[in-house]
Amino acid sequence: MTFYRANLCVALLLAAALFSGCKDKDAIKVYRVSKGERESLAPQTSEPARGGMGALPPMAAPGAPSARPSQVTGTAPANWEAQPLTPMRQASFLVKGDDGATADISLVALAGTAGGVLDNVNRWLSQLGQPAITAEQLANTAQHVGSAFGDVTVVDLAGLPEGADAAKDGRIVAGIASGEGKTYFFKMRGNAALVESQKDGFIRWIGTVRASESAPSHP
Amino acid sequence: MWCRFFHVISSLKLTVICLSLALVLVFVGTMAQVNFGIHEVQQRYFQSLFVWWPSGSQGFRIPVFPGGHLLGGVLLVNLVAAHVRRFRWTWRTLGIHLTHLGLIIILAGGLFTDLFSVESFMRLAPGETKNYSEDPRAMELAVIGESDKDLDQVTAIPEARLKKGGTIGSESLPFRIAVRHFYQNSRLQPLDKAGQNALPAATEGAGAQLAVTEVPPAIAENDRDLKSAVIEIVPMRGETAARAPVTWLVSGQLGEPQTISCAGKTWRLVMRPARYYKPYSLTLKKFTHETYAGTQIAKNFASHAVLADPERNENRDVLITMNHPLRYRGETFFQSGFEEGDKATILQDVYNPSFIAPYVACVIVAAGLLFQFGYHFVGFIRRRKTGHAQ
Repeated sequence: MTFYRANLCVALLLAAALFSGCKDKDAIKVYRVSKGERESLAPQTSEPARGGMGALPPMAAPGAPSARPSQVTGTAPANWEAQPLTPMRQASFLVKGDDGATADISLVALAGTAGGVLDNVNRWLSQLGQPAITAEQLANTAQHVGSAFGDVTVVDLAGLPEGADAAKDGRIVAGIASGEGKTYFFKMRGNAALVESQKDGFIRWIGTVRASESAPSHP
Repeated sequence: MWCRFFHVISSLKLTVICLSLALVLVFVGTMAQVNFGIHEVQQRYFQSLFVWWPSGSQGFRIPVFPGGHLLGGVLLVNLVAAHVRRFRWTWRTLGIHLTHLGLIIILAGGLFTDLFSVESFMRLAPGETKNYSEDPRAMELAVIGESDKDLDQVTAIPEARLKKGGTIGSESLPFRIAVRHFYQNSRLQPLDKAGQNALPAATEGAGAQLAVTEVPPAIAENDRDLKSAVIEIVPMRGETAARAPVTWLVSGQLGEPQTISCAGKTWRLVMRPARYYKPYSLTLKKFTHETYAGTQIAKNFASHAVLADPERNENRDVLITMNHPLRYRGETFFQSGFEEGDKATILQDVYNPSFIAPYVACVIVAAGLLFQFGYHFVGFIRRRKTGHAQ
């Protein structure tokens, strides 16, 4: 019987080892990724648009229906292509240039100060692989434009993070407006030359954006 | 006692009981798909040790039936034990031993696949490069902070951990995350559209302008739950202990990271499909989708990509088509789908360390059966010849 018992013990040990090695679904993972890797998230939808051999794709298609109608109106340049909105994006556009160059334009409204102007500018700089600046440097470089949401602090930031695609990245022109307990982020990010060519139109667009009639009193 | 236990575990009665229970489990599980959908049923009935009641509850529950893992595990142990108990080496029984060995490999391989395989997807638009795949069924809360000039540090909290609730801490974060509510399936609506009594989902960020509603879990095969959570950021050193709780809504439906500030640094919060990073990357050069002339019937899908692996000095073109997956570093990339308008290809990435088991098992079972039938056939011919001679 000793032979049987030994075999049984081996079988039970193997089974225990097998189950102890199961995928740990609760484990928190910590890792580092290149700053060049931009979050390219499409909003998730319950029934993703797809084709093919029956597999469930990881994201909804960029052309998926928007989560809600826009709560702002504005006069965007004719060459900007409107993109589907998300609960966070009040406005979203894509502009295309030569040789596959693109730039992404968005308006996001968040409650509160959303980190403040300096923190957000430094966050954008870090996205471009650039060092942070001080409040004094920000004051010297920022320009101010008027909008329906109040004074907008506009910054123009350049830099290409390592590993990033120069056709889609390299420059951010962004504006921040605060008022009525909310912060509005106007942002254009993409190919450096394309962003430069669109900068004037972007600043004019900021001036034209206002809450649409269906929107609440403070969007 | 050991002897008795060994006799029970190796008995044919146990085999019959397990197979009968498996029959019932498959029937009940199949019927349950009407209410829960195939994915949920797989988890509850087949990829578990027990079927629990009430199902899906995080609180008190009792096991009401053995699950697929338990039945498969017991069958495997039963088969091995029976083999050990009755094993007698003769040429006459070699075929039976081989056939049983094949069955053991199939059972063990099935269990290994369930326990260790990972299925995910990689969506690539032309020109896009990715070194990670994503699981559309499982979400993660990624807290992204600046690590140094070139790198971001990501702390990824899996959905399963968020579901448990409570407070979550990590050495990589200067704050803890308290889960106030987890929504298995939810819909977000702007406050003004959600009715007069609607309350904001959170105090900060996008959640301050959105209402969240819990909806029943998705059942259809291609539907999926839209998971959301309301979390509170709790600083470690009580820097805002006297302040009212600051809550944030995180959801895959938001589509944009939100920024929080804590301990003098900024962090991005985003709920996204769980990611599996790889030491290599794929860049899509071109996706082709051919149809039969004059029809919309698919003839061929093909992804022309570049595989780059700095660790192994690999940089080569690869072609992934419907019946020709890419196998690399233990993972297999299948041409799985595409986005409408052929805007992107969708590759299914399968990591299955025991993928070879069914092939090996089938060969062994076939060899065993051939030998067994051949042995008896030759014996029969011999006896027949002897009979004629006599």
